[in-house]
Amino acid sequence: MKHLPESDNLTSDLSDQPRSKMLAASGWLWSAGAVALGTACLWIFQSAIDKGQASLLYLPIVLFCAIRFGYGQAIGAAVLSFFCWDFFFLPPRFTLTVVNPRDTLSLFVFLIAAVVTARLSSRIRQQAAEAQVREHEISTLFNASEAISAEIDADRILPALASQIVSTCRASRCIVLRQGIADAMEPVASVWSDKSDHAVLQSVVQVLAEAVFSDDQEIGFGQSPRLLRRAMETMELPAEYDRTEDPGIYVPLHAQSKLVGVLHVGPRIMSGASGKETTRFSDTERRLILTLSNHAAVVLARQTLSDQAAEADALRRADTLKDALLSMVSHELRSPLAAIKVAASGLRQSDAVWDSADRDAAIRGIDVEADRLIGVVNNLLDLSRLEGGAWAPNRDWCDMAEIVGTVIGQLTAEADRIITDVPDDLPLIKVDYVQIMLVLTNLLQNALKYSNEDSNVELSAQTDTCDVEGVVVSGVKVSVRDHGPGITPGEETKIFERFFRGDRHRNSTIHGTGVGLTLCRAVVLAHKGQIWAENYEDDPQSRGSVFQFFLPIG
Amino acid sequence: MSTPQKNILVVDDEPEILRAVRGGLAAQGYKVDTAVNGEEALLKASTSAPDLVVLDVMLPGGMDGLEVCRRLREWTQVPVIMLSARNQERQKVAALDIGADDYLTKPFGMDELTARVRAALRRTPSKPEGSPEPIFQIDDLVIDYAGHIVTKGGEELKLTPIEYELLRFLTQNADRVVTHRHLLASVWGPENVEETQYLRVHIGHLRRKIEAQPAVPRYIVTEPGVGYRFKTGS
Repeated sequence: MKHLPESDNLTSDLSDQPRSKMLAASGWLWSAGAVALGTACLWIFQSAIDKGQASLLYLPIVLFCAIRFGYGQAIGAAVLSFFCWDFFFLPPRFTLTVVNPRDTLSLFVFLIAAVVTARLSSRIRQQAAEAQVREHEISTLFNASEAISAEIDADRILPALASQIVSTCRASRCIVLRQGIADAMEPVASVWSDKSDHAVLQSVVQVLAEAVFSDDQEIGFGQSPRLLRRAMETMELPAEYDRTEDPGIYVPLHAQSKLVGVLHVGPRIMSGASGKETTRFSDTERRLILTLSNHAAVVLARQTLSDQAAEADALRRADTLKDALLSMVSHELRSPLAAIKVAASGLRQSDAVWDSADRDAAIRGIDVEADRLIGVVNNLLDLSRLEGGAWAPNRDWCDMAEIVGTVIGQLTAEADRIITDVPDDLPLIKVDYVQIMLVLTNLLQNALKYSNEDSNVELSAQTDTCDVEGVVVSGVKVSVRDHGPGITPGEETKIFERFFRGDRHRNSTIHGTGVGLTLCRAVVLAHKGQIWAENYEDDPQSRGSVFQFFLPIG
Repeated sequence: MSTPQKNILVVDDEPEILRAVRGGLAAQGYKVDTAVNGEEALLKASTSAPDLVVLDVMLPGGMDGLEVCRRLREWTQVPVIMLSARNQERQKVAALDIGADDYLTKPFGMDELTARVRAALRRTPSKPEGSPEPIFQIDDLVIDYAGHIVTKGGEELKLTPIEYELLRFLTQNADRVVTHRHLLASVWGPENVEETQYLRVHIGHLRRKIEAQPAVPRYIVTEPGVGYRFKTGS
């Protein structure tokens, strides 16, 4: 939610009603004063001026009043001039009677000329004022659309638009709502002009917006709507809400003749003599709000469309993932199961004659295949628990050398192929012992699996620093090097993706689920560390892949 | 096997596991009784007085394995081996804190179970509380508790007081899992039960002094996420 400062660079006053009222009142006084001043000048210079030409001085005064203050004031000035001329200068003086018919004619010609002048010039004035307002309106709209189109991010367009409305109309708030889950309206952008707590008003806006949405009727545009009254009476508004308060404006938003949401603008609140007062928006402001509402409707419709596209995309990806999982399961689970089934049922056959070596081999096969099944299932479960957030790291101070020792102790079968280089003086790091064991186990198993049985796997650890999210932190880096075929160029990051198996291994005899590395990445990321893989080639005889991960100390 | 025949109570709600474990243990010469829930387990434990209980943590009904273990400990010191799910280190620590002697993660191999059963049974009669053996010996490592002397291959090892205390506590609880908290409380005092880093450092030093291959320890093995175990068997 965005709060706007009281004054704003874009504040352009479209609400000139109070000011023009004050101007009108002082206009009458100024007009009267101007006529009085003119009369005084005439009085002083009366010897020099022909009394019949006094209209030459009064007419500019009327013209001035018409341009400066308006039609009414100009007519007032004309009438006052008429009487002043008659009273002070036309014989008999100091009476309103006129004896000379020529004077009478001059007087009435003057009056007619003055009225026509007033009329014409005040109309020009009005047109100029209207043109100014329109220009203002256009420039405000221009500013608004400028500010909106500057926002590339769709999520920020609506807040930008709302804050434009709030600053331009000096409204207390502007909220754009759209239909959310279960028909409730959910705000997608809300901008308030102050920072106080809006919980009550928020729920009121919600209720009224729902009424506006379901009836497709606006609130706050002239006619006292039955909708508002009905909403106030029947809908559940918070008890604290003052129902006499100006509800502001609610506009249903249409895009392509479809109702997509509601835009609400709170009333302008001024702190007047009697506490807080709300003032009505001018016609210009209403027009502006309606225009910007159209913008909002288009943005909302666009957002809804892109949401739907994203949803479809997510579904499609989930589908691909499901296919990958199924194909992995069908191979990696079914082949050990098939082996177990064959061996176990063979051993059960009553008429079979087993020699003891074959029998042992069959039994060992069952055991080994069961271990493989357990491995696959464990990796899958661990990954789903990690990714579902059900297995948060239980971090405590650990010694990487100790973790390495535990892992190698458990990899009994091929432990002698692993050459370790782990210094004694590594700093302790705060990690989840079991999870880091999992990472090391998976990396070592991969290295052993994908390289020749007579080649070594080198494991080393060292203190290092790493740039994690823009901050350089110190920690421990672990590398696992093999002398295998290496990673297919271009697949260095893909191999960490779920169910991904390297091109050259996809149909090979080496079993793999495409889960292990994903699991490693999930664990390392949960520890705010980094994991990466690359090929190395020291010389044509010494090449392969190296997997490294970095864990920060704390 | 040994005479008289040892009596083991196995508690699990999965009939396949019960059947397999019963068969495996019987083949090793143990007499096996089974129970499928907490109530039945407590009843059988009190009537048949087993020499060891193998207890699954997850049991149906209102009473889980931890609760059964807690109730057993109210009146008997019979060794209890808990069967726990994978990656449930907190659960394992909780079980050990309640008084379980050991745990095994499902799925386990029969060889692992029999090894744990043997170790637990071996511990019980020879080590009554309060009167530890005066001398501990494994391979060429000898600890003389009375004289505070540790020798390896006949040569005296220079251990710091903390290292000696760690070794003494671990060997007097040989083949048992000792939790981090338990070890910290008894060596450093109850106010230091959270200071796992002390343990990491001093266990590392101790391993360098007593292990042939400190990087892959044979005696002081890490129980990941739970604690340490001084292993006497292979």
